Amino acid sequence: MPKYKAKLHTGVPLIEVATPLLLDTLMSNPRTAPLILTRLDDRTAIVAPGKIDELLERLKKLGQLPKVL
Amino acid sequence: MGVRFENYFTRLTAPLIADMAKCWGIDKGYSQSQFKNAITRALKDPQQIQRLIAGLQPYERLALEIAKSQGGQVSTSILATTLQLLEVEHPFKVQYNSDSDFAQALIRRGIFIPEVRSNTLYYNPNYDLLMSDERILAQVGEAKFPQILLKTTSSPDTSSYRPAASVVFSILGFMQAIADLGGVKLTKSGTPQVNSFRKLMKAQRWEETGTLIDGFWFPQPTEGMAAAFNAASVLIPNDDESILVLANPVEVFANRPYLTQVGQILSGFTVVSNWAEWSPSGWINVERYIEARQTLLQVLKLLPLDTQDWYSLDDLEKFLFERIGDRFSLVGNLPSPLQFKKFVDQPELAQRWREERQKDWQNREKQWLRQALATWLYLLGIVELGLTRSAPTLPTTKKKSPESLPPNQTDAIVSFRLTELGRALLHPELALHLVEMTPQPAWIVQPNFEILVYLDQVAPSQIVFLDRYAERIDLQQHTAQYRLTRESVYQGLERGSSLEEFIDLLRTGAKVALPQNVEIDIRQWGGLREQITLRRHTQIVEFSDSQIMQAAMAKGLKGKILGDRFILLEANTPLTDSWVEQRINYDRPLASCLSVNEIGEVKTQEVADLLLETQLKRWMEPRGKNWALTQASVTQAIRSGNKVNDILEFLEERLNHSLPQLLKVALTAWSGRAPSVEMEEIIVLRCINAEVFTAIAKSKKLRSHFAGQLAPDILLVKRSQLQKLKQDLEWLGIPVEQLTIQD
Repeated sequence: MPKYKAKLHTGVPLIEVATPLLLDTLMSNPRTAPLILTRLDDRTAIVAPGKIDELLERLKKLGQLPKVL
Repeated sequence: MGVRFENYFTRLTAPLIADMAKCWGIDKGYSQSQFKNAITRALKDPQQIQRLIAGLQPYERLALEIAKSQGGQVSTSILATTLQLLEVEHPFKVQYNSDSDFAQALIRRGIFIPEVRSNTLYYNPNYDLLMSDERILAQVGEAKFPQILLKTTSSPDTSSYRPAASVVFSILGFMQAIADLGGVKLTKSGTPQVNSFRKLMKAQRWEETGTLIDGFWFPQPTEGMAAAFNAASVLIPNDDESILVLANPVEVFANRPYLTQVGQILSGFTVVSNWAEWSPSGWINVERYIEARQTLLQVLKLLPLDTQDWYSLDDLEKFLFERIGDRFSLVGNLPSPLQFKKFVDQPELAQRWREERQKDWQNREKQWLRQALATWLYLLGIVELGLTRSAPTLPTTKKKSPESLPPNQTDAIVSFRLTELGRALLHPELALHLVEMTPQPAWIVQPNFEILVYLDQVAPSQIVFLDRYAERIDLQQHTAQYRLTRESVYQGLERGSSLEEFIDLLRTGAKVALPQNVEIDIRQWGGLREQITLRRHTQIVEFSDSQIMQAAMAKGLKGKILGDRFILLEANTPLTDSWVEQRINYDRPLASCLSVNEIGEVKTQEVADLLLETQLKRWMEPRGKNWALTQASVTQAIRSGNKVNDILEFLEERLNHSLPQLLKVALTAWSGRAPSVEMEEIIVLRCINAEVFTAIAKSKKLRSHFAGQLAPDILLVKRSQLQKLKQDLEWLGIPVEQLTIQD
């Protein structure tokens, strides 16, 4: 049986956006950038743990209406 | 579970049990246990129970019927008041302490037992509350009370009532507001938190002191509604009793028939203990207010049903005074004066007492009666209120409505009658048919995003729908107004439905086509929601390279590929344990893997989480395998929008020791919040000869030259006193030399 050893990251808060440009913009905006940490691909990044609600409020102030799952 | 007398024998006195046994045909000469056994046996025999009931006096039988109608338990005071209201004679009517005597007489007749306080080990009967055995109640018929024939009155100038749909609209709106707030938080003592009530009040657009409902003053509506919902078990404490939450979701409650919904809240209002319709002093006698509400409901229930006639408030008040005015009062039951000999001998004394009593009644019970009709009985659509155009000049201490509100019409109430809803609620046995609304076109969406809702056409499920997606802005007797906003639509969609479902329901509930601009904007708002998704808790599998990831997917691992070596697992996807070599849970504190010295040099241990490297890069400069916090790196991070607290929190979480204080000062200063420090050159006097040093330091003459002692052989010299000190030292014969302190 082949071995697929991997690391499982659980409870990871994520932000997913529709376009890479939008994530670039959010990661360079001083209001949202501090709360967005590791980028996993061009449209997905890990949010600072425990900071989803803070990021949600900041995004709403920027005129966004994020879907929260 | 019904009551069975044998479970309570141990808490009854021997004489009471003996008297009870006598009613069941067991007379003297038996032991206590024989009495108990005999009663227990008799209660198992329906024929014996029927024989006992057949031998009861009319008032005793009625007492059982009333108890049955209230679920087996009845307040002695309410029982006595009800009998008096119905003009049913009983021998305890005019005796002092008559309620207690009355209760004990019913117990001795073998048909009731007193409620016993269950938290006490000793005999502690409570004659205020009586309970009957379920097997006795099973043999008792339904209570058949005589009608109350109040004098009818002419139709009023105008009238006001709330249709069933409006009532349900209010109930569901209050429930939705509670749901939106996540419940009503409780203090440690179990009372609702003031702040929680304020939020609820704000959501309902009510004022703290009260609100006008169709022009009728409703005092402290947040407290009243919450108390009634709680008493009706619509609002219940959560497991740790820290918050009152809805017992059922709003949509579940909304799907029940109107009568069930309103009836449940009505049952709550009749027993609320921490709210009053009106109080002359702010203090309320809880039991008397509950008795008053139940008596008033009883009167309404006994009004003729086959008529649409109106009854005057004055006649109702007079009727109640005539029937129960000599025993009932909101501030406490009155000892009847009729028992006193002087009242019997001198009828004019009794007349004077009654006149005084009537004056009190006018100022107190009548005011309450008016407010009871204008508050919960009107709110719940049970009565239609008749109004006069010229308000009577009745004395009132009721709080006036705020100037910003329309005039308070409560004082204009002159008459009332039961509504269709009221009849159906008070007479469930008649199974009156109420028209229940089913979803249909019931509103008009206007180009300014406001929705005009016709309450006589809207179904409860549609009210729940509107409450989810729009803000309530106004409620009239027959219409309600909502407003669609970006935020309200967003919040509605966030509760779990799709944009298309929302637009479809909005369209099918509308009487005319949706304005084009409204639909365009709603679609734009919905579209914005597709731009960004925040996921609170996800599971991500990290592979060492792309090839292994692809191989795992070929073997059935499902999820969304992120980059070239991550897979975002679908919700609830189990992962074969044998694949997982390490688990990292981001809900828990991550590994403390850093150490740092005072000058910001950071050493790291190898960790598996996906955050550390990003955070190190964000705040530090790489130094070979290690990292360093520098003024430049911290300043750069601050410029990018980070806050000094972010780095302090990060270090606190990830350091395996406490943060050096000096570095904390540096980080704070580098972030632009430099502390204030002052520096100054000072003059000191040093003398290594201890005897001489002490002589100088303790000298009254020299003391004023020094600011303090810095060390066992060093004194701090006041700069302004330097010359004087030199002169004094020269006078002492001590040559002064320039001092140098050596390490």
